[in-house]
Amino acid sequence: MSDPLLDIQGLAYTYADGTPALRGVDLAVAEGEKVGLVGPNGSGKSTLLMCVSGLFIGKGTVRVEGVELTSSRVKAIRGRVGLVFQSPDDQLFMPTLADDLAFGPVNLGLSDAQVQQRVSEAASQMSLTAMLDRPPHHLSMGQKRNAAIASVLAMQPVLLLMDEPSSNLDPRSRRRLIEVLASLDATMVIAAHDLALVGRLCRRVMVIDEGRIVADGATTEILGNATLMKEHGLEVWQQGTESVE
Amino acid sequence: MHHHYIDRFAYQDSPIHRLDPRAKILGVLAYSVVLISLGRHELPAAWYAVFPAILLLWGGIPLWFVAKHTLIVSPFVVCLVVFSAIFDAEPVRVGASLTVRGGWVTASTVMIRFILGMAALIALASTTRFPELLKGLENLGVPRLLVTQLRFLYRYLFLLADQAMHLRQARRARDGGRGPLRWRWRSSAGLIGVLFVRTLEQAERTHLAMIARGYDGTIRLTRPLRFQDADWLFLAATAAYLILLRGGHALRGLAGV
Repeated sequence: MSDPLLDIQGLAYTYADGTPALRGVDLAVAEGEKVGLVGPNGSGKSTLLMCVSGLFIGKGTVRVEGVELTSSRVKAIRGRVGLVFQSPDDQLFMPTLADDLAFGPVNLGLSDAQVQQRVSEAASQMSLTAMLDRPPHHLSMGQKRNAAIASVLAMQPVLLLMDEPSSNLDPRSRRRLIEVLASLDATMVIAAHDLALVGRLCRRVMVIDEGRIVADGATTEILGNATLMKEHGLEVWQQGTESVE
Repeated sequence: MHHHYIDRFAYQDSPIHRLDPRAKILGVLAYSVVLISLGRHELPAAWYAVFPAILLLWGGIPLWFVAKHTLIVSPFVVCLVVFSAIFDAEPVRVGASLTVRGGWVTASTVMIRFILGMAALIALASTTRFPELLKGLENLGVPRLLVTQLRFLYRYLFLLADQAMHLRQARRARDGGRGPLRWRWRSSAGLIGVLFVRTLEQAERTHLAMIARGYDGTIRLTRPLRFQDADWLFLAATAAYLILLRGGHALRGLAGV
């Protein structure tokens, strides 16, 4: 079996105020996998994503494509791992969408032509080509979400991390988002409370609670396990139970 | 919720909108300098209105919009106008035979120059997209740090205004817009405090998002601005117009009119 794309061993992280967020996480994600990460509020989902993207450096080891994440290698790893934040308003900070999509590629040191190509490709992937000159506050919530994902796709990361990608979306925007994410041929870790989204996109799910991975397996088995779900403050999800328009 | 106050008309298309932001910034700056350079008792001639009028009319900016925004900032100038009228008692000759109290002339010239200056500035801001305006300022040598601050201000002002509105609505939902004045002031102080904390949290989250995409302390932009023939023409016409305006004033001054 080939080496996993993401390999985490004994990852622990404690916030500055002494609150432990991760207490020894072990996991591996293979290339091309779409993995769901579910858990109650405060279970450590977002902190885990921050640690994998190198924004927080915890104890233990995080390896992306076999390269260990250390303070000295953090810049190189950030170019390989893309994190989509929960709120698009955190992620879209430039005056126009085009500038925002170009922000990552420019920082990667690409030429102007390459940057423009990346911007066009990412905008086209997320159906945003007609909106490139607009400021983010002129976009709807669904468009902002797509723009946040496009801003990360423009960096062409090998691993895409998403924190609650469907929060604040209406059913139509959410359905479109699921279709777009399903069409992306990328390795993904999706942290979400939206079990239907996880169920539709991921074949594998991990349950995290109190900073530890407490279950890891096939989506239908994990999300359909009433005892497990109830024990960790989650709901049961079964295939075909979500509403359709 | 949507706020389009600042850039409401900047996304239209017109020959003025299509001009390079640097040409418009330089034109409006030169016009403002000429306005400011007029003496305390010099009234701008009707020709001074031509520059902002052309920008506004050709740019398709409605005059009510200009009037509304000029009124919003007018309290700052009204004080100046009132004090000029009170304290400047020097007699000034107006026209061939009429002599009036200098304060009235000063008040009039300050008011007229304020209206003309505002009209030119509103024309600039309403015919230039804010991101382009910032790019123009940066290209003209305004310090990058200042432009970056303005860039973030523009991006997050709308978000902050939304949050302030939500907080006010939440307060109104519970006090019905009534309650003792002292209590309302206290709650307003609380709202400001909450907004301040949210601003700090927002800054922290945005900074993380920037670092996640390779930010190293410098914001690099692509798509450079390009000066075209129309921009040179605009600048040349503006320069000729301003020279004629100022020259006309100087000549009249020499002639003692």
